[in-house]
Amino acid sequence: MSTNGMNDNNNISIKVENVSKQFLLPHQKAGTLKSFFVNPFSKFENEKQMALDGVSFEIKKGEFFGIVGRNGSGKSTLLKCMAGVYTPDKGHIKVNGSLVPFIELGVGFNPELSGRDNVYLNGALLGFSRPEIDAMYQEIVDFAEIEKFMDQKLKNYSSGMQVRLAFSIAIRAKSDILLLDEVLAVGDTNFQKKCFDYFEKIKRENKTVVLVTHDMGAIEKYCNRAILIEEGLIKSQGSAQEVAYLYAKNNKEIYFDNKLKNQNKSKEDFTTKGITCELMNDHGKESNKFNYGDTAILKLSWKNPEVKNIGVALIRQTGEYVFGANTILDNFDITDNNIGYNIKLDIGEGNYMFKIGFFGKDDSEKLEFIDEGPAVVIDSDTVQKWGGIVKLDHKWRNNV
Amino acid sequence: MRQILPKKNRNLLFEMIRTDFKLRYQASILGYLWSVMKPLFMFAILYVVFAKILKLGTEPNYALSLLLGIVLFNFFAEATGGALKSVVSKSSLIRKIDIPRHLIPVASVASAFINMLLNLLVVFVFVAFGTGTAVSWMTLLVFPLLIAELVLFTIAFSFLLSAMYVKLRDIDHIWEVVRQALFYSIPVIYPLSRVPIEIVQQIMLMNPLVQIIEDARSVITYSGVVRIPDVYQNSLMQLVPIAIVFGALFIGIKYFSKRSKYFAELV
Repeated sequence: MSTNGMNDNNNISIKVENVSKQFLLPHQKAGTLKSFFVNPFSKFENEKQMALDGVSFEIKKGEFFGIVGRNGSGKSTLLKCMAGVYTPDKGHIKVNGSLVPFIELGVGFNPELSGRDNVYLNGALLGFSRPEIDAMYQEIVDFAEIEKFMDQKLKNYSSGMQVRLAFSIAIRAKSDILLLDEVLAVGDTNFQKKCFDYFEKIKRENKTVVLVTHDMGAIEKYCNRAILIEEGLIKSQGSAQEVAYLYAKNNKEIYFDNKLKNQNKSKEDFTTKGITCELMNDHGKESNKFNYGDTAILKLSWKNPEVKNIGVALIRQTGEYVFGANTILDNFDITDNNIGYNIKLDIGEGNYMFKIGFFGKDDSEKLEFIDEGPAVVIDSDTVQKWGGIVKLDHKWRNNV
Repeated sequence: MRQILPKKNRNLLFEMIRTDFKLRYQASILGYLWSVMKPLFMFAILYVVFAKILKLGTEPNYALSLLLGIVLFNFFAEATGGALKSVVSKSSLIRKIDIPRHLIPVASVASAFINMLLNLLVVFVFVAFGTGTAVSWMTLLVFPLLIAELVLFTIAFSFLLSAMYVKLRDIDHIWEVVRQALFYSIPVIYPLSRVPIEIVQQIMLMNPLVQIIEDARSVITYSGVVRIPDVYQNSLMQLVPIAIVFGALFIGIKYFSKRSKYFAELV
């Protein structure tokens, strides 16, 4: 039994136990003697912000572990606690092995020093001695492809050159555990390719890597496991795919809420023009949320008697024009000042929006236009089993 | 030593000092010469005003004593002034990497220390050509110990000030005033023997800076200085400034390590 316990401990790379971190955000930058003398007894007005609230998890040796969350969720604070930059208010973090944090590339780079001096300075921060850097200096320079600039001051480098230099030093760091914070967000595609190659390499080497990002592609591609952090709490943990799915779903809900808020405003805008517009599901209930294959019903009414043609377009959040139709092309005669429009939503998961145009006899005679019409959120309770915007008829066959 | 400064930290400290040195006299033609010339200029000004115009320096080897005093005091003033801002100025490092925080003020003091060594070289050149100096075999033994005491006292204040400055930015201005006051409250310009009341001499000698400067003069420039045994009957009083140095060092290190946990979120 005890041997098992030992083995378990040996397999754990980082153990985070009930970690809390709170920041005091002073409302104004206090901290001068004057404010102390004026008001010596009352503490400065601080807003307390719970960045992490009792977070616990374990990372096993050789695991590629993802931490995801929206901006301000506490994921970077967590990383900094693991890196030893912040001291947690409560709880413990146990790190088993040597650890190198890449919270930023080129930490300690000094613009006034030459590229060569910066290599030695940055290398020392990563734990290398002078002879060690001497030995790999040429490799670093070759990898960064900036041989002839090494004796120039860093401030004369382009930002791309700086990043390349920083990266080629960083990847030499020898450690059991690597902490990476959105390093991927910088650099051109060529550089990102190098980053990914490096990730592949360390993944093969079975190093423990902790990656903090909101790039779901990277999480799904590299991570074995992940946690989702929201407002300082672990919202979920599990396989990278599960967490990435939950995160995307979460974002969709937030997007949806924002959209609804905006919609009430734009609704008022066009009611003043005498237009009403309602989106309902096939039970006749007002809704913006649909599943694949549901029918949505759009009800429009207007006051302008000139309206002879109405067009409705469905646009995806990412900008693609998915589908559009108008009454004239469909040979539909408008007889009154209101119509209904049924549309079967055979479209993939995502956020969509209606645009609605009211035209006169002539197509070019645009009377009214609703640019931000009702939002449509296509959601499914399970992971969607196909990709793309529309599901096309398809069939697989053997022996053809 | 190996515990306080493992190899990795020694490398880092070395690189930090190098960087500091490289940056200090960048784009200046005379470069490192300035670190020697600055105290010499200050010496020239003070010497003309106080020895030639005010006729203060009639003591033997007044000029050399003045120069030595300036060099020693300058080290304390420059090192503490630089260390005070060192932690805040390294905020980009502190917020991103878990470097041993105590290396930062130590590196700052170390680069001022190298400066002082250059200055002392100049002092010794003058001493070599001087006459009636107090240099003997004792100097080799006593002087390095005095320098060590001065360095420890400087580090104590550097820890304290750099940690305080993170929280309270007024410290910068306060320390500037204190340094100014210190310069006149310790016998740099005037010899301690010119202070008329013995009890004032007694109190002044309890300041480690005063004790260090007077003891250093007694083994380098001339032997007629006022030292602790000259004004106290009890020879144990010699331990008081040393106790103050270690007390300050203890408080400085304690305070610094207590505060350094929060540097990353405060700088």
